[in-house]
Amino acid sequence: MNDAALIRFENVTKRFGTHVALNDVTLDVTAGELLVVIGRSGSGKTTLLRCVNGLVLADAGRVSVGGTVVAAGDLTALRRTIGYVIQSGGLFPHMTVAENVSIIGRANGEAPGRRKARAAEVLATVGLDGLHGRYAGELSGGQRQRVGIARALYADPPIMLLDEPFAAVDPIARMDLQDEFARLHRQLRKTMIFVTHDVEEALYLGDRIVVFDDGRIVQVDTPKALREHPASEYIARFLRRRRAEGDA
Amino acid sequence: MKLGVIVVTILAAAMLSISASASSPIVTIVIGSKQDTEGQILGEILAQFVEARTPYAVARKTNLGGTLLVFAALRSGAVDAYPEYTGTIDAAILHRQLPFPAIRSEMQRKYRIYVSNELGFNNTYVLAMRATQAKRLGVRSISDLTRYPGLRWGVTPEFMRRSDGLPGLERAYGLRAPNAVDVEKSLAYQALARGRIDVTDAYSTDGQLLRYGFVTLRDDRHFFPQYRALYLVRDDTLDAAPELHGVLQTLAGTIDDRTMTRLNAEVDVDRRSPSDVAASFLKQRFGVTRARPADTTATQLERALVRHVELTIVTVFFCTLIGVPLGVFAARRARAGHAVMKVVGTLQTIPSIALLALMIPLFGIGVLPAIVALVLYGLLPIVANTRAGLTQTPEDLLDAARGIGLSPGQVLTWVQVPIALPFILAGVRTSAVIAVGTATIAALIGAGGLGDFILTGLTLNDPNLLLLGAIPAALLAIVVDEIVYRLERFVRPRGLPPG
Repeated sequence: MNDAALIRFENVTKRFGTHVALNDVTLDVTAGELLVVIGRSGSGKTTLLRCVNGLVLADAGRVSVGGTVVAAGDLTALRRTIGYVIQSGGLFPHMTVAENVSIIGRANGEAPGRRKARAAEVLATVGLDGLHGRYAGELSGGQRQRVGIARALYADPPIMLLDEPFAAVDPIARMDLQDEFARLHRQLRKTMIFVTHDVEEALYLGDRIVVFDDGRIVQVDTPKALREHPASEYIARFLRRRRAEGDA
Repeated sequence: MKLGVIVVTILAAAMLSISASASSPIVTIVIGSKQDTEGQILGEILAQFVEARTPYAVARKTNLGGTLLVFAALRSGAVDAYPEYTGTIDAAILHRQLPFPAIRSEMQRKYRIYVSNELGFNNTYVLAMRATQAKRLGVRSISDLTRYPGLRWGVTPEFMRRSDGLPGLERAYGLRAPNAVDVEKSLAYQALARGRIDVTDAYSTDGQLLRYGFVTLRDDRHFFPQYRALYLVRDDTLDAAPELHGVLQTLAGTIDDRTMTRLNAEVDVDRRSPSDVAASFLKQRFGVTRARPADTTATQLERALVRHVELTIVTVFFCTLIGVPLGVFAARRARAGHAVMKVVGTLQTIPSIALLALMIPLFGIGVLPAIVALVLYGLLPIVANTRAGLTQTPEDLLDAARGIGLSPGQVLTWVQVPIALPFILAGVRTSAVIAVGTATIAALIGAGGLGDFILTGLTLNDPNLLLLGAIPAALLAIVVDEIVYRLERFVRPRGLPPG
């Protein structure tokens, strides 16, 4: 076991009815790393992520964040220290961009002036200036994701959870987002768990990659090691195909 | 915030004007009556006589919906006096047949209610025929009918089946009416006049009998129960207003069958108002001139309209105040929510008369019970829409709201309710339009409003009076719909798609 582990999964099992989403999963996430979780849809990777902020509670085993067991603590307080970004963006349609981004400030009772200033700051960080007063319905898909990331950054949480944040964005915008996200991670050095089903994205962004299949961890490795020794047919097939395309 | 201030101000004004109109410094005698023509005339006769001959003030509740309501109102003290019939007291109040002195002592003993001396007439079932045919056949009493089994009977459905109707009549007189068919009352008179039927049932003092010139047959075997008119007065009222005795005594025995039939005809056939008819009767019989001129129709209409608007506003306010939290509760607890929806839905099915009758022991008569009833009827759309709106919050937004660390209360008030607001407001709008319509039942319990015109128009069979209430009510519904629609657009959160 790794003493620097900020997030720790110990023999975690989760069932939904008869479906086993997590099957005896043990995993450490080190402070400051960007861990990418990859797998087919339905493989349990989103469930793994949602165990960290307590949106899903384990049936067996335990999940701890910073030494505290998730199921035993105050979930609302815990979640305010964890940034959360989802695929659709999850922006509240009746709030402006600035209101969306600063909603945690409002929940924490911050003064409006402070909220406004901090919202401007994080929006600038994600490359969005001058959109404060817009509503979600008026933004492009890429802009919505940036707002979602800005909202997660607002309280400067040590941990961020990202659930396929770029999956719904068109390919060109996605590449921009990935580049900026990589830069952001280098700059902020937050502990991040990033779920995707896109192997390319995983290889590009991850410090380490967890390959997930059928509720189990198949492989945990650096992108380099994964490329050289893929332990799953899922990854191996992807790599073969990319090599073939490269040869053509 | 601004909206809240406006609503509260309107509400306070409405409540103030309602309560102001209810208070008065001197002894006020509340005179009630049912909705029928005769009841209203008798109520007016007593009211105007008291106004002319005693120092007491009079308040009229002359449109109450049926024996059940008006007697409950009398018992609770919401009404001090109203006209009633011996037969009704037997059947609906004491539930047994008693001679007059026993009725009087029973009512005294059981309810502390004084039964006045009889007014003189007996409004019971009679059989009616065309005068020409009756004369030709020599039919004067019901016994005479046994000689003509071939006559065509057309009777009201009620009379056809009741034991004190046709079946009992056939037994008592050894009559046979093998051709009897049932006909609606209004059609029966026309059918009789045109010779399609020969015999029908009627009430002995029905003004329409004069209009058509029918003769009524003597009940020579005294089969039909007696419905002799009198006034019921609370003992408490007589103690506080002893001069009432003199008025009741003077009126006793002064209205015979012919007089009552004529007075009814003046309203039903000649289209005069019950209060005018009562006034001319009092003038003619006792030389009494009206102490207080009757309100003009315009004044009455204005008052009814204002009251209707007040009832609607107060009702919608409380429906929202109660309905939204109830809807929130129903949305958050699936099981209990189901039960709430069932209860609120069942409320809709309670007939208004029954609901109002239940209100009287708790809230008396007038504005308060009316509003309670209207609120119960108006809850469903708001509760249902609030529940539907909240349960339809997109899953990803709930996920985001919880995941970023909003407390359950914040998820509800910052995310779910604002997103559901268009639904909730649509429910309020439906409820408001329903309230304008159901507020007409308020008249049944003495709360006034446009229902006074509609109900009176219905009972007097007077389309003009009915439209005088119905048209403003319809216009009001349109206006209310438009106002709430604008309010809806005004408070709808920006950023949500237009509904």
